[in-house]
Amino acid sequence: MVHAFLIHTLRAPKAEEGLCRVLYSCFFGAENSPDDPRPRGPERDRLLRKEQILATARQVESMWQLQQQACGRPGMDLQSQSSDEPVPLQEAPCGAFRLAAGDPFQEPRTVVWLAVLSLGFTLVLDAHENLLLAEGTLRLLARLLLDHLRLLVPGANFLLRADRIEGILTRFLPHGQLLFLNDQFVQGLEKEFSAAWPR
Amino acid sequence: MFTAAAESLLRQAREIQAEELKKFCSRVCQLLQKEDLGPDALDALRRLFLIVSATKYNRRLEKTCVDLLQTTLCSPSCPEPLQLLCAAVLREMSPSDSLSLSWEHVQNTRQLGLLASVLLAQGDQKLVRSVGQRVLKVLESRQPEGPSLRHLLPVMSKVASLAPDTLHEDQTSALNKRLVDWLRYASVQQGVAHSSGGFFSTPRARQPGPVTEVDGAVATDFFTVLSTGQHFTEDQWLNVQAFSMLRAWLLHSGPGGPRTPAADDRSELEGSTLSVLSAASTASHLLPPQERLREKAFEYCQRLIEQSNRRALRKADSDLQKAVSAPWQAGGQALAAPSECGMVSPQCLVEAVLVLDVLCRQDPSFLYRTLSCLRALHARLCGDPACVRALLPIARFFLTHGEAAAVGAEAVYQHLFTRLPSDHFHSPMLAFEFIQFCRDSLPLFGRNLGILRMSFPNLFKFLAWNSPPLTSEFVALLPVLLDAGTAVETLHLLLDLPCLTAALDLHLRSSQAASERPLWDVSLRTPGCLEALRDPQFQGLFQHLLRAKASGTPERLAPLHQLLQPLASCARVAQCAEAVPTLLQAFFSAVTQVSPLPGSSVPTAEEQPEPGLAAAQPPQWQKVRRRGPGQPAGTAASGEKRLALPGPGV
Repeated sequence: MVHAFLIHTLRAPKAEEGLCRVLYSCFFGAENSPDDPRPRGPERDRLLRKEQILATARQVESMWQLQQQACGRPGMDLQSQSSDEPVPLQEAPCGAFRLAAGDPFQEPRTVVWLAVLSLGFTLVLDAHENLLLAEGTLRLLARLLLDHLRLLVPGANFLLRADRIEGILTRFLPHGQLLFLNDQFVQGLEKEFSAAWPR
Repeated sequence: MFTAAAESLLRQAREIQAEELKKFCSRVCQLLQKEDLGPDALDALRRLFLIVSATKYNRRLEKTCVDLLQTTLCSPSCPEPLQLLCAAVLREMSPSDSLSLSWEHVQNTRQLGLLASVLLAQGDQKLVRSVGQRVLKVLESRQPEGPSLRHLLPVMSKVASLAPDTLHEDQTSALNKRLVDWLRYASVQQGVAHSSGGFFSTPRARQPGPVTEVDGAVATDFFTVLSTGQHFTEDQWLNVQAFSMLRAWLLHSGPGGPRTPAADDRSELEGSTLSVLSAASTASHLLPPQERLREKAFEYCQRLIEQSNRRALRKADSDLQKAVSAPWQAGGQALAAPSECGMVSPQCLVEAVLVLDVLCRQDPSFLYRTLSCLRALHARLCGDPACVRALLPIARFFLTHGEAAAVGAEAVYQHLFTRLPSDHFHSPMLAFEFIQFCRDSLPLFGRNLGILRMSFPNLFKFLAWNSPPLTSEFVALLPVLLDAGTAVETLHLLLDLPCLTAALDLHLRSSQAASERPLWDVSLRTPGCLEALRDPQFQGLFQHLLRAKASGTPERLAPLHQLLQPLASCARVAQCAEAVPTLLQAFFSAVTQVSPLPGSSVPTAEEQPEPGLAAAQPPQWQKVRRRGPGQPAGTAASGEKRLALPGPGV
């Protein structure tokens, strides 16, 4: 199952300014440590969760930058994609890596990421998941989010449209459950979503 | 895409002051208390979500506001976007002391699901269990026109993973029975389109026709995730969800899962006497629920394997056909991207094999039926490039069960370790999965460990090409990969790892067709090196470097170092070079822990390597030798701030 999903920025490999920003994140359930005797306030738990997410986003950004450099594309012009061209999701860079227990999540986790222009889409998974399914789900989510939030239209701002993101996640990744959706199911769900969120 | 305007919006959200937030909360309350929740309310909630989520520090919202969010979430007439936002804000604020959700009277299953997501985010085991109990009550209800259960089954799966002891044995049995119904007896007629574009279809007199297989033929057997149709029924949807959660559920409720001790003895006894019966599926209705679920799960997996053999016909899959033909020689990333209908097949295949593995572990009587099926599947997949990642769970299955079934699966391992790395080292996802497979299966290799060890040159190709995500994996793997016979050769290959990266880059340049998307470093041109690749003088050395198996004797690669010099500035080579000190550290940790046999050729840190090699690699080698083994790997990495690209050669 998926533990968390995040959307974050990706800065070009040699970028000096700016920070890696988490634009949207969602946890499915919470890690808990019943053996921990120290009393932990809810504020501290929340802070920890946010920091875990940020740490993950930074690692993904770093992995993506290294992969871009290794392919010989360090200074890719991220703004060059016009809004009319379909984003070549089949060729979007992706990768996976393991996070050891405690660093930063309590349990060992696997991270699968997908980069579309300057946005990163990341899944934090339980340690032994069907990675082929996870990767497929991530591409599907990215496609849906790009389509329904019009992320490529300059100036369009999805920070204020979290309801659409939630609407997509609730159908295609309910409670963090990865689903084996063939194309017909995807179409059906998408129609249902479009009906509730007319463009 | 991330514009200055967005950055400024985030900053505003973070910097909003308490006073201003208080005023905003009152406005939100006003809007939510209206009869008609319109676009203003939606806009306000969107902003509220941004404010709460933009900062990692807590935002104190007025109690009235929080209470109103909870009420709105539970209100039956609230439009979905608003409900989702209320739930999202409450989840963002979790864990929270001020939640007082009362959900006893909530009937709508979609809202129930949303409430569950908020409660599960609190990190409180008691709450998780109570969510489980509530959801189970609804799942057990059998009203034909009842609530749509597809919003709740994933909750059950999540609860089982967070708090495995939530359900009593009887409840698990009850759920097992329902899962059997959904997996095996879902309707094989297509659903009817709902007029409002919804998904749930009610039974009508006129049936639109049967569901089809992916190749357009009428469905030959029961409904699965690979069945297609224009519209789907509720139970078909539950079929998809039930399969999606099946493996985790089997593991949760299987032997070793949480059970009371008395029940344990009883059901193990039942299992052993009835497992003979389970071999004949006609008697399956006599089985207790858990065994019945396993039997149906087995049938489901077999059907998936049969269905995946069909050629998908849909338009989306003509792209798949294209992707399979031309660029396949280099096996680009595109093929690891299963997002359309036909590409669901490899995902399902992997899952089917994983589920069969769990079933055979829980009930060995499944083994004889599975082995022949998987051997045939393996033979089929070996020739199908689109399914290469499905070979890994098959190999794992044979590692787990091969001994018990007295099956020699050497052919499976040979193919895995010889062909896959050579052909697919450049695919980041396959590389990661392959090395995970090696790490996770280590205890299972047994007498097959030799194949793994002898294949280290091939495994290092994954590392040489994808060093950032795989370095830590190899540090963990090295101690097991090493033995007295291969240690020296391994050391040499580690020192030559950046050379290997460069050689792999050249190999791709020379073997990929011009029309394919290049996998090598496009910022670098190396005409001279490419010619050298074809020079008979150097071919032997290249072949040695690119070998698939340990050869037993290290070769002097100094001439190659000179030749590959132009590629030293390649970023991938540099990344690999940066990883080498860490790997050497791990290597020496591993070898010095094993007490050397008398007369063995395992080098200690004090021994000199071949002079030629040392001369070619002075900076790293000398640094590592000075530091010696047993020091934390951190010093190795941090000491290399200005890391010399390895030596005068590459």
